[in-house]
Amino acid sequence: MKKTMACLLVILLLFSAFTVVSCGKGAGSSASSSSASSGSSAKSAAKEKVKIQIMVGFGTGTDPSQITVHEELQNEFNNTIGKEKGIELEFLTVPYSDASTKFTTLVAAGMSPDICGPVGVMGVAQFIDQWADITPYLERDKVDLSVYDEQLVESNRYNVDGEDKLVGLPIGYYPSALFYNEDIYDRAELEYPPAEWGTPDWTYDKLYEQARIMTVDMWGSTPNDEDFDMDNVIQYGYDGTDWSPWRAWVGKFFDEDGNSVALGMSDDYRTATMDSPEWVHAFEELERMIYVEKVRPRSDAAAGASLFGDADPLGSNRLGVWETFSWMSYAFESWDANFSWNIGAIPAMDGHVVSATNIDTFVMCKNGKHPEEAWEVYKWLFSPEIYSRLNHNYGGIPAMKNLQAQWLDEQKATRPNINWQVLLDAGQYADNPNNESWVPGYSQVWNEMEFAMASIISGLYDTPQQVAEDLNMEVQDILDEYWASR
Amino acid sequence: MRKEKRIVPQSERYARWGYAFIIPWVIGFLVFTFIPMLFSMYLAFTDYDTINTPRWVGFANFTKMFTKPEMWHSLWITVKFGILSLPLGLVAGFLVAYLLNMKIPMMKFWRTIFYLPAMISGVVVAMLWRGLFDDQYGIINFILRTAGLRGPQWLLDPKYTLYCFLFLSVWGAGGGMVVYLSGLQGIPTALYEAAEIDGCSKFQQLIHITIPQMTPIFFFNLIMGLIGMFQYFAEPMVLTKGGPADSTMFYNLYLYKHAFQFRNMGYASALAWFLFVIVLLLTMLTFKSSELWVFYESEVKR
Repeated sequence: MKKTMACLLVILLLFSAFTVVSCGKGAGSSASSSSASSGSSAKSAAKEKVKIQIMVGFGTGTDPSQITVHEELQNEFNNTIGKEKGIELEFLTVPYSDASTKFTTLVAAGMSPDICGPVGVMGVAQFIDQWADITPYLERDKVDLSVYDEQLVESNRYNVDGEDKLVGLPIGYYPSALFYNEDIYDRAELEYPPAEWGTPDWTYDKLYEQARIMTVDMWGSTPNDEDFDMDNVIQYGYDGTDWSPWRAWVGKFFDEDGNSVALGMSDDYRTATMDSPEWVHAFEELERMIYVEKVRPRSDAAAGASLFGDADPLGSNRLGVWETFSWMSYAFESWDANFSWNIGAIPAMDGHVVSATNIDTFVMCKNGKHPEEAWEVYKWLFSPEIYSRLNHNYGGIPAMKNLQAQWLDEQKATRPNINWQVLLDAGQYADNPNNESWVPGYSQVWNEMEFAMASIISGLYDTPQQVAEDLNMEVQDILDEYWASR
Repeated sequence: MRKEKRIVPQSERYARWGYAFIIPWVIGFLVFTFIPMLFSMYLAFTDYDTINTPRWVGFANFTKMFTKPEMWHSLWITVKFGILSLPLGLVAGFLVAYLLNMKIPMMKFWRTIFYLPAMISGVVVAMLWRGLFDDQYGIINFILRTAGLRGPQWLLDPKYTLYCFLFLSVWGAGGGMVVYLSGLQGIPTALYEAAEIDGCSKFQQLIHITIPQMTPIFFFNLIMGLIGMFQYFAEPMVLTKGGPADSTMFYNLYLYKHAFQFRNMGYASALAWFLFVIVLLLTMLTFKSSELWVFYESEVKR
């Protein structure tokens, strides 16, 4: 009996030891493999290919049709440059919902991918310390950055903990604009939003005025009528900030010196300024939209079920204007089938016109084992022909300037009645700092902002001033904690 | 010379087989539960972002935890929900079982129907109720509208969100029903016969025989419900993600957010261990209190 127990114990201990060793293997594998490579692998270097992995999943790129394009590119690379330089390229695609977990697991196990992308500013910000600075490579290989929109290049430049770095080049961008339902506008006998950015008198006040006519309750009353029932609305005039982060809204507000207050903290990221008069004003405007003008729904994205059902707000055919990003292109087909729609310019808020913009890039991972080979692949991705194909694949507006006219022609050929020029012109009004740009304690700060926004949307607040003060206090705590840990 | 074969007693042979059969479970327990638990205890004293090496911070995570109003808020939401849902669930489960223990037609059918919600995963249940609670198209507000009442925005108004989860939990009360049923069927009929001879009404039988005899089952369901209450996660995750305005931020959702959204695995581990201590203390308290109200057949209370 004792012998049996002893045997079992030994088996269990061996198994546990094996498990622990297996788990720990990853972390050290990079070191061991690199040291080994100096010796034994020298002989086989000529034969063995270096594998470079591009992880896809932080943004677009995971649809089956997009995966097919990635596979084609992968094969092309492996049969041409890859063969020549001894590099084997592999696209690793993971679902968007799993991307963060997969990435952290890979990095923690010492198996970091070499490149990640396409990834938006938010994805970049969430793992800011995991990306390599590509400046030395750009300088060494004299890469011409003037071919890109400068502002889009700069959106990937960060100063993190005193270290200045450029983490990637822009592959495409998705500006926000007004996507509107022409049928609803026609029924309300309203003029469509202008297609020209900066049109005089095109302000949010004017937009609210239109939206009040398009917002209708189940008895046919509008907010202009005294008996309007805001709890039983069947069609809204305007929606926007539901699907956009809070900073996309607050980015429309500027201080006395004409600087955007979107960051909500001092330039050194140490002091929260989210209780500034501009932030309070931003909250007041949100409050006004919901409870005074009554033109936007109270539902928030987290709640899911709402007037719009499972469709996107505009796609429900129960919304007049939707201020959102051009990555909604996946819904265009269903919009085409259900109503006439078009694109208009965003109005001015207190004299400033701002288009919150999403920007996609590819980043090189700091912990990738083969940075030189990864850079070769990176350069190939950003070579004009491949760049163009990638851009087509993701549907963004190319950040490479000489491809933009071609993009416009292609859009016009597909849907000639749409004002595509509005999206192209939006680039000049892109928000700066970007609505998704990095701040310390990124996810927590983001969460606090969303909470403040949700407080107003759900009616659970005293005053906008109080919301701003509470938010500022919470964010200051996060910043203090962040800097204390540095 | 032939080696003499040792005769292995039958009990030892059985024991060997027993051990052989439990080895997979023991390995699974060690690798997937026990070792991770120990590791999480270590992590509770570190600053760990799931990528970089954990950094020892002593009791900082616990200090932060006890001083964070959000943590107390999430704990309060969970406790408030428990105070309402636990007794409701216990009573509803018992009443359903009591009814289904009577001789009524199509008994098997009714038992299946009432037990069905317990067979459906929390995620599916949440999706289903999301449709029912929809303020525009949900059946609940449709019924209210038909009756001339204005239905609230169930999932959008913080005043009502917690009650939606209450509905959900009571709907799943059939899960406990099976245990109650087995308990009810285990009560000796002689007790009822004797009571009837003594002239007891059905209600008196319920109060003086059924309920006292069922207290061990109540006790079991109470313990399970208590643990389940603090583990409440799937439904709020699917329905509200803690919103609106944190009105449904249950403790486990708060923990999840810190672990996987903010990547504060150290802090999340501290939260997990605090949760463990709370559940342990409450379970111990319930066990202690059981001396006063749980009656076992062979037991004689003073």
